[in-house]
Amino acid sequence: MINNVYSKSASLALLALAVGYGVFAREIPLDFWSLEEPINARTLPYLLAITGTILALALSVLSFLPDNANLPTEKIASTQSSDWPSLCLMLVLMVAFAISIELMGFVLSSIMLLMCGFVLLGSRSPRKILLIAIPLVLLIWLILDALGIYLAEGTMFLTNALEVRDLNRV
Amino acid sequence: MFDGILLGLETVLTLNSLMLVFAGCAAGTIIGMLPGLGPISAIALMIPVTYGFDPTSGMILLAGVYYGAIFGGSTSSILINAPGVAGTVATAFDGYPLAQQGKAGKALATAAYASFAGGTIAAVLLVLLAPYMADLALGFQSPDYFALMLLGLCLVTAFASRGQHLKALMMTCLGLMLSTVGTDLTAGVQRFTFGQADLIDGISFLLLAMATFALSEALMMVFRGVRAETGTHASNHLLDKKSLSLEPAEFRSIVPTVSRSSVLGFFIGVLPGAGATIASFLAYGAEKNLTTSANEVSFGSGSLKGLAAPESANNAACTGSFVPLLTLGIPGSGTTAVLLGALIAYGIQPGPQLYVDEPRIFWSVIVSMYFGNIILLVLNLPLIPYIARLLLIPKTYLVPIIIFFSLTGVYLVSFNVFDLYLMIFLAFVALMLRLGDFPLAPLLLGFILGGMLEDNLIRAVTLNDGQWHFLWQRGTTLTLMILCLLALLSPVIPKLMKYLKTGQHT
Repeated sequence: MINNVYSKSASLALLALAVGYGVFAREIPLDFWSLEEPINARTLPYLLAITGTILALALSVLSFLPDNANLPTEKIASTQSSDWPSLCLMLVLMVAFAISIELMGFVLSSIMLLMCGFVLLGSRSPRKILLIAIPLVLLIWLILDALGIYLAEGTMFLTNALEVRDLNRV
Repeated sequence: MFDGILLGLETVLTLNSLMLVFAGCAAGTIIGMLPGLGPISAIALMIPVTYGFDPTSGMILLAGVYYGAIFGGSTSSILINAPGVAGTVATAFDGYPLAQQGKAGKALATAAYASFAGGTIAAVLLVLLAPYMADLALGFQSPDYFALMLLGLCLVTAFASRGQHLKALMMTCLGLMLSTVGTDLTAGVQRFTFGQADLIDGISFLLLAMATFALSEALMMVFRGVRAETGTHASNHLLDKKSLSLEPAEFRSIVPTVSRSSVLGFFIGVLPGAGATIASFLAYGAEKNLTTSANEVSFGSGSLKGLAAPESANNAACTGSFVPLLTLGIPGSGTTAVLLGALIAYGIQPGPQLYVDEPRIFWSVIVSMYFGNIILLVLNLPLIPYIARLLLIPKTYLVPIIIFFSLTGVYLVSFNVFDLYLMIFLAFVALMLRLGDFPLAPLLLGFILGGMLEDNLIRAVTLNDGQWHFLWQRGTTLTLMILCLLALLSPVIPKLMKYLKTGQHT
C-alpha cells in the first residue's frame, strides 16, 4: 500500500463517506408496501454502505502500515512538485466562470476564463492570449449558433425595457 | 441472405449513398473528437439534417455518424485523456500514456487500424449471425444480465496495478454509490438528493466522465506545475515521421489481439444493455490476462495491445448493437435508442418485422458499414499527423482550453449552472483521489453499470418471489457468477499458490 498523506486522507474520507451513506440510506422514504418487499429502494444502498465501509476500513488500516518496499515509488505523490496556489486560483476561476455564464453570457465569460487561465499558467504575451482566446470562443459560438443550440446571452445585457420588465415579473 | 446483400449493395453503391457515408463519418469524427460530445450528441445533432431524406439514406448517414463519433472519441481519449463517451474510457488507459511518450501518431494509427478491423469483422459477423444472435439475446434473462454486470465490475481488478486491487474495488463501490443518487425508477422515491431539485435526475454520465478524466487531468497538470513547461514533451517526437506509423513487427503483434477483441466485442454488443463500454473493458481485461511475455510493455503504460483491444472491441460492439435494434427493435445502448427514435420519426416500425417489411433499410445499413469502415480509415490515416500536432500546443494554452471544453460540454447538455458547480467539486475530489493513487476508471464503470445492475437485481428477485436462488439456478447465471468469484480472487490466487508451494518445500 502506497503510504502517503493523500492515500491516508482519502481512505479516511472514504470511510466517513461510506458510513454517512449508510446513515442517509436509512432516510430513503418508503411506503408501507415497499417496506414489506424483499427488495426495495434501500436494499442496494445498504449493501453498498456495508461493502464500502469494510473496504474503506481495510484501506485506512493498510494506509497506516509501514511502506511496502516492493511497490513502485514513482507514484508516491509527496515526492513530486505541487502547486497549491495555482490549483486554488484555477478552481476559483472555474467557479467564477460558472457564476458569470448566465450574467455575462457565454462569449464574454468564456473569453474571460481562457484569458485568465492563460495568464495564470504563465503566458505573458498579450498578442497570443487575445489571438487564441477570442477567435476560439467566437468559432465555437458560431458553430453552436449554426446548429441552433441556445447559448446564454447574459442577463446584464438585457437593456430593453420590456425584457427587464419581463425578467422582473419572472 | 445473398439477395439481401445484393439489395444492400445496389442501394449503397450509388454516389448519393457513398457521399452520405462519407459525410456521416466525417461529421461523426469531428463531433466525437470534441470532449463532451459523444455519439449520442452527434446523432441527436444530425437527426434534424436527415428529416428531408428517405429512411434508408437517413439511417446510412446516422450509422456513419455513430462509428465516426466512436473513432473521434478515441482521438480525444488518446490525445488529452478526455473520453467523451463511456466506450472509449478504456482506450485512454494505454492510448494516453503512448501520447505522453511522444507516440501519439502511432497510437492514433493503431486506433484507426483496430477500429477498421473491429468494424469490418463485426459487419461480416452481423451478416452471418444476425438471425441466430437475435435468438440468443432473447434467451438472456434478468439474472443473467445481473451476473454479467457483476462480472464487468469484478473485472476491475484487471485494470488495477499491484497494490491497487482494494482501491479499485473501493472506487467501484463509490461509482455504484454515485449511481444511486436521484430518483429510484422502480419505487419513484428520491435518494440522496438532500432536497436539491437539480439532483432529482441524478448525476449525468457526461458530467462525471468529464470531471474525473478531462477536468481532473487538467487540474493535475496545473497542480504539477505547468509554468515550468514550455510545450509538451511529445513535441519533438511528433515531428519524427517514424512515430506516425506502425512498424511491421508492431502490426503483426496486434493482429491476434484485434481478432479476439473484435469477436468478443461483437458478441457483447449484441446483448441489449451491454454495449461498447462493457465490450471495451472486457477486451482490455482479457488481453491483459493473456499477455504473459515479460518483454512486452505492460498494460497501462503505453501498450499497443492495450490500445488495440478496447478500440477493436468498441467498434465491433457498435456494429453488434445493431442486431437487437434491427431484428428486435430493442436498443442495445443509449446511442441505438436514439437511432430507434430516428427510425420511428421516419415512420418505420422497428421490430422483428423490419427484416421482412423493410429489407432495403435492413441490408443497406449493414452493407454501408463495410464502406463506412473503409472510408473512416481512408479519411483518418492521412489526417493523423495533423491531429497529433494538437499536442504541440503548449500546456499553458492547452490546459485552459481543455477546462473550457469540459465546462462548456457539460453546460451545453443541461444549461444548468448547478452542474458546473458539481463538476468542479467532483473534479477536485477526483484529483485528491488520484493523488492518493486511487484508480478512477473503476469509479466510472461502477457508475455506468449501477443503474442497470440494480434494475436487473430487482427484476430477478421479484420474479423469483423474493428468493436469491436465481444466482445459481440457471446455467448461464451460475457460470457468470463463478467467473465473478474467480475475477475477485485473481489477485489472491497467485500469492496463495506461491505460499502453498513454499510451504510444501519447507
